[in-house]
Amino acid sequence: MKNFESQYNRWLDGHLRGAGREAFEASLDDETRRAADGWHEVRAALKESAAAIPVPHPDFLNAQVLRAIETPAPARRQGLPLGRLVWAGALCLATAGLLTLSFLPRETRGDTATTVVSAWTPAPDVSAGAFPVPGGRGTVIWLEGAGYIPGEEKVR
Amino acid sequence: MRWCLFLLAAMALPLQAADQIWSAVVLATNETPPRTPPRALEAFAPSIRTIFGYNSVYLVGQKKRALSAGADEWLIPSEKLFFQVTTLAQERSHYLLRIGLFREKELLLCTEARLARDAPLYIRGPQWGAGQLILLLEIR
Amino acid sequence: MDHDLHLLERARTGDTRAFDELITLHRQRVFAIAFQILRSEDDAMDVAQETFIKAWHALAQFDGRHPLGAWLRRIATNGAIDVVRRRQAHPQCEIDDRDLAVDAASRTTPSRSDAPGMAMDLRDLRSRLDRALATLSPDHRAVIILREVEEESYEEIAGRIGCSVGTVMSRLFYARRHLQSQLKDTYEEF
Repeated sequence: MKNFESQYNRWLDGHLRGAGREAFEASLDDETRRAADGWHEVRAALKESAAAIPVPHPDFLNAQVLRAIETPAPARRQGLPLGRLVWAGALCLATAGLLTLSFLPRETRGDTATTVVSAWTPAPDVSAGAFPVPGGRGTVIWLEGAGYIPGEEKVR
Repeated sequence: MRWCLFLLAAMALPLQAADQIWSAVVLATNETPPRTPPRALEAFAPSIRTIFGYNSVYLVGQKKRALSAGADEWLIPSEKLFFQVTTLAQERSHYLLRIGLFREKELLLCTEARLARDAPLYIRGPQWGAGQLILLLEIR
Repeated sequence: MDHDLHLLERARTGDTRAFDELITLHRQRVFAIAFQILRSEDDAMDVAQETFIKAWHALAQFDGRHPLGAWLRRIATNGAIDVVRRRQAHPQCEIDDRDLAVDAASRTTPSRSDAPGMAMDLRDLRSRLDRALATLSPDHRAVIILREVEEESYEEIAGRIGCSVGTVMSRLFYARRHLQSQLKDTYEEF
């Protein structure tokens, strides 16, 4: 069964239909529904915004690209032997897989707020971000990739 | 006079010694109608709704331990998800803690955080069935 | 589109003038998508240059199933995401999702015009949207841009970014709620 986040996205994108859509809409509070009502305007604004961003020095961009494609490429340097390359690649992967380091900037919400100084996730497919609780003194660590536990498995 | 000073000192110490770290594993879902939160989660339900989008919360487990500088404490609010907490420093209005979140034998997250009293740390955990597990930590 | 194909055929024969014209036709959208993700003119210019250079070398592989512009924007998106990944590989990882404000904090910010009945126009919304986008992390911006502007599916986004569909859903939810909260007063006008 899809979680709330997934259902919400599909609902906002018009992918939910019939009884499923009705049931989901019935579960939402007024504020969420109101926020979603205006989303098509935001979507339109995002698209318009994309079309309105000017390129700084546009002719310079053309010139740089043309210079790059018209300049003959330098002769390829001799690479590492294949065996050494494989080991180097494996070492890089192992190092990258060992930890993902995130440093979070220290927040200045006064002495009475909880703040996160640093966070890291050993697994490469798990990531962490942090932000203050809106209007509160707490902090949220948003873990992504923490996985799924089937409903029939005990957690307690 | 000396007796008064001794009494004052004795009264001051328990304010710090009584600090505890409380942890909980919460299952958040959306239900119609929304479920009344259990008393232990009443203060957290509105923030959970705002941040994560769920209108109902269940308390899966909770645990609290006294804080002591330098010591490793295991906070085990549930068998599957639990914390290792080390008090690195006690500052004027915060505890600087190193917190490891484990899912059984796997370390999911290691964080250093300054926790103030009654200012909780919410951690978005794994999904469980149709709901979202959220972990809470708070100094009390 | 026909003009694109004509220029493309000439460019494939090594005609750099034709390619120059193609750059001029598509540079704005290529730059814009890189900038929307990276929020840095310098980085976006680098990505735009690399996009066209890569495209020149890959012209023979373009099969025409999608419009040329969409193909170029995909190269640009991949380039921008590579930049994001390179930034994340360094210790000072950005967490700039402050002031999530997925709540009523914005209620305290006066944003309505004083003139009664005056609706917020689209330009004002774009300006506020721009500021709100800047407060998202690049990971979240990439997902929202790919979904809302490029209209890619969740699976396509996951493949492009190199994560699971679940992670795409999580980031999209977060980014949408964040933007909705930042633009809350705007909604009350519509």
